[in-house]
Amino acid sequence: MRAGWGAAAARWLLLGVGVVLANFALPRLLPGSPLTAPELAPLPAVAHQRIRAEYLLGRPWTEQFVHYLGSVARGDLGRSLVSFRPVTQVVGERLPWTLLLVSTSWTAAAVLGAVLGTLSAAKGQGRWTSAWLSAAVLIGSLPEFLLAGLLILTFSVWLALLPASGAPVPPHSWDQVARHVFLPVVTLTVSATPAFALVSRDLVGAVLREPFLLTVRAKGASSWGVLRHAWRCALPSFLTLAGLRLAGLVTGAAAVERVFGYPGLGSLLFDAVLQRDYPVIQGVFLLGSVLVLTASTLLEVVARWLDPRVR
Amino acid sequence: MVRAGVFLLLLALVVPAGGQEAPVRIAWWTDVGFPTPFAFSTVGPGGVVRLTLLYDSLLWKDDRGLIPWLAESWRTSPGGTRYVFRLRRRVVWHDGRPLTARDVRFSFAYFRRHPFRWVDLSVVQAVEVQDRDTVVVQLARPFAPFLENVAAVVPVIPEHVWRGVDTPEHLQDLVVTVGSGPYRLAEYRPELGFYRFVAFDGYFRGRPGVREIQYVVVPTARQVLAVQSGEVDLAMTTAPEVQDLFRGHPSLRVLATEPLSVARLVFNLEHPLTGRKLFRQAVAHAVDVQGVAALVTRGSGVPGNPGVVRPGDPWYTPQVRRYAFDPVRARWLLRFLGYEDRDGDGFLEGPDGTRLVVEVVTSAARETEPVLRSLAQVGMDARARVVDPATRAQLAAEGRFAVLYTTHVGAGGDPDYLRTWFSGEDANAFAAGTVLRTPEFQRWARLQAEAVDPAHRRRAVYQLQRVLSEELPTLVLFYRPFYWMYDSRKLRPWNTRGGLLNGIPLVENKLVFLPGSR
Repeated sequence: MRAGWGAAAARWLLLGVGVVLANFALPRLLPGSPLTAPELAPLPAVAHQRIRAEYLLGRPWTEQFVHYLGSVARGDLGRSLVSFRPVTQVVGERLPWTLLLVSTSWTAAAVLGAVLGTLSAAKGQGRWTSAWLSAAVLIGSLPEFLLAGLLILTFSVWLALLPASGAPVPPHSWDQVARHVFLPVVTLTVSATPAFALVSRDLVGAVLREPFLLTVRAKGASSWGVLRHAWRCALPSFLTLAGLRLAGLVTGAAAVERVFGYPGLGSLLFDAVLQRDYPVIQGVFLLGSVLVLTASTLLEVVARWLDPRVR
Repeated sequence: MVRAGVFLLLLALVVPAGGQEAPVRIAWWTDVGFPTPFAFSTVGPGGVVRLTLLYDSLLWKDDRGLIPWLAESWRTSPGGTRYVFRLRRRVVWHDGRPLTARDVRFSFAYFRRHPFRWVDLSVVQAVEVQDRDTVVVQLARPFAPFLENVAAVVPVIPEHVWRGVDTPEHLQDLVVTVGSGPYRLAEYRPELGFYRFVAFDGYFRGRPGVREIQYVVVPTARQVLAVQSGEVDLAMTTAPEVQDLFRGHPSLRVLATEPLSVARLVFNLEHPLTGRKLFRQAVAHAVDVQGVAALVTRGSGVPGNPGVVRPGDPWYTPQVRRYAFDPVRARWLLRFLGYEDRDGDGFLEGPDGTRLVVEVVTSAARETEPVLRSLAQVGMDARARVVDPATRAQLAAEGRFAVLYTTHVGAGGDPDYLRTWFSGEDANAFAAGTVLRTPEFQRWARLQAEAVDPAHRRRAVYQLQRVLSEELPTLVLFYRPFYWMYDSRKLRPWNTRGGLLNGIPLVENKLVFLPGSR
């Protein structure tokens, strides 16, 4: 058990180092430089000199990296090259929107997927299952932006029921936020549910074929009771896979945010990449990576705790 | 009953357009930064136009041209290097303090150290205060565009707010957005791109009729829908079809701007291929400019002029070199340069047998497609290199391109853009890309900028167009208008002559929101 925790910590550390390295290198591998991006290019030479000095642009990568490490260690992510605001502030304003979108969609997709997968596993092979599986594969393979477009056409243009834009006008009320976040959440949920459903179908299906469930059935347990037993065994693996799926959902959220004009980290990252805003790109990557790693680790901990074989 | 009806009718006539309490909501596609002269975004013109609601300049523009604004009158010295502005009295800042000549002097001095991001002020040598209401601007050399491109653009900022501030771009608090403009900034939410401007009751031109203006972010593709659904009251598109879509609508209208947005091919004059004038002229004959304009703008654009200035512009001259769509002539010119189809594969090859490959750097693949087809028809192996706008700007800045497709605003107003676009001095990153170094261009560019006599300047501008059409550092494909969709119950926008500021086809001129100003 202790060895398991040690391995997890080592993996965490290794991933952390990888994240920091990638975080520094990725924006610098983009073609172009902040000073020639459309936002800063028009500034006069005197302004360019100041920006160059402040952000160590044009200095050796090693020098920039040491400076970056020192800043990250102090919790200082620098200032945006475009808006000149502290990156922590810029990222902090967007974080709640992305958390709302991702956590809602992830939870909804996990629950829906688990229900559909369990029903499918309980029904066994058949025409219904084949049709269902085909539909799930089809929906799951649709890109999020296409799904988003279809939903906008249906609910905003034809039915005129919901706003097409993801950013409500302040002051915000809960119902207003809910109306604006509804379509982005549905897009991500619909896109993520098939994966959860397929995983849970396989997991629950495999457990249902285990001999111990024969005993459960022989004892006279109801179908519901049998499934409850099956899920107790399947849950740890399901949670681990759900944690892995979280990273995919965060990536998908970036595309969905862009399509809906939703004010989350994905939209911010998209703009920052176009403007070569290194500090903001680094800030979003760092925060996104830390969030995904933390959530995955927490889910792994819960999964271990739930599984009596490794507890 | 009849009396009440007459009263209501009279009331409707007396109250100016937009004279209501409900906010006017305007759509833009992105956040445009904190609205001070030091932190607003320069990607697109949205940021600088929003500043004009908060700040005033010495002069301003309406639908007929320059008008007095903070300065009620001005005079120019015979040599064109000295401008004396007489300021209006009773102009106050949003915090109630009076705006004086000292603030004007401070603004220009401060912008030397902390540049105003839209205008190059290096031509301003000194600014002196003559008395409380009189300010003298001394230029380093005569500069004909000074009134339209500097005095009517540069915001005057309050000395008592900015004095002693070393990093003004970092100072982003509502308390520093003190201006003298018709609106105060009441709220800014950068993550939402949301701005709330409220009317400034102490404005020298009177209480603004529209009490509140809000800017919200709406993705470009959904601006039409946003107006139709009532989400916003003013939004923009380049699709001419909206005119038919809104025809006959009880309240929604469409205003087409002057075609101030230009699409053009920029040639790299240092490149071994595009550096040759004959090759550029061959391209000009090969590209069906009329066809490209009609196809891409769906009939709404004006086909490009090799002299760069838009036909219909007050500075336009037809006396420039013309390039008829003539693939035969294009092939002939290419043959003269040594390119012919030596192996019968349909593509031209150079004397050494290598295929004539022309790479067009673009961020708008679909718009570039008809150009590539035109070039292919004369035997060029024309390929698009599709990159994001930042990469395009980078390639342009470093001269790593042969041909570049760019679209940007600014093809209107003072014609000094004929100089700045081709001398590497334009503030608009999308207008950059090539520097024309021929002595003839340099001469006419300098002469038009420094001409004191209007007739001399006009002649120099015409000569400049002739030189540009001959040298072809760029091939203008078309000029297109923007279509502004608006709710006529909320506001009645109109076009500023030559565009807002320096050729910007946006319609939220602050005069639109003021009572009885037009």
